Amino acid sequence: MTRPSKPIRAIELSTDRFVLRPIEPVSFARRTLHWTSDRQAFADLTWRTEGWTMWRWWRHLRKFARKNRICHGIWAKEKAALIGLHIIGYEPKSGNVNIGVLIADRSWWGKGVVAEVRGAILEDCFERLGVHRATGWVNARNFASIYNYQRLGFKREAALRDNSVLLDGARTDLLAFGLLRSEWLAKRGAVESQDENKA
Amino acid sequence: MSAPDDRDIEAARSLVARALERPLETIPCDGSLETIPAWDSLGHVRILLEIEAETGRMLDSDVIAAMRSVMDVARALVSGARV
Repeated sequence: MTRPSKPIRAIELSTDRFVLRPIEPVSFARRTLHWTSDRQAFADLTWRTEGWTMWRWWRHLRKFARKNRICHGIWAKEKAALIGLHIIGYEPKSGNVNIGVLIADRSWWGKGVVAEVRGAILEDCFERLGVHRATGWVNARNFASIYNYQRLGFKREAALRDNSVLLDGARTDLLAFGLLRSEWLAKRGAVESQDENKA
Repeated sequence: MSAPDDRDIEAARSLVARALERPLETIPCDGSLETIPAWDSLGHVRILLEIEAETGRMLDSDVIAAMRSVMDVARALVSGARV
């Protein structure tokens, strides 16, 4: 099994429509403080950011710029606009990652951002960093996020019953979705051979 | 749980077509989120909300996590209708 032996290092990634740049917490916090007032956008990350100051936001973001964590800002190429962020937490002993995403610019909701961005990030994790598995957590009422995990080949592996509290105070299950490196490579191989057949 | 019959599958096709705002003939019985191009994330949200509206109850997280095809929709409609 391939496993990273050194601390992971973030690099810039690019997709058809987006550029993913490792964040620098001070400038990122300055540019995105207005995001923190949108409760709904942050709901799935379970960050309660309402009323946060620049200082508080920076302190929070700073955690994701530390060793064994990668935080990419998501930039839309078309408008050169910062629309969200993607987080990776790496566990050196197991070679596993936990992932999370926030699309703060609502005009991009429902436009396939997560599938495109996360595809590039998973490719980087599994190919360059030698990660063994990726895990994502999502509350059971976040149908769009569940869809994204399904499309990328993640399997639902566990449910923590009534673990999540929604914005309206209701409780719901927290679901774990997992993807192994071998599954990612097999899925990618299947897609590539489909493309070759079409050509 | 009973397996969906032809009428259940037609109801599921119709629900998916309505949620995705596509003609019924573009939604095959064996269609899924991988094979129906219009089945995107917002469409997925609409499909699940339509099932809940149709059955009058919130879907269980196991059903939500497994929902990926017209047949899954049919099964959810059958089980929801019989609770």
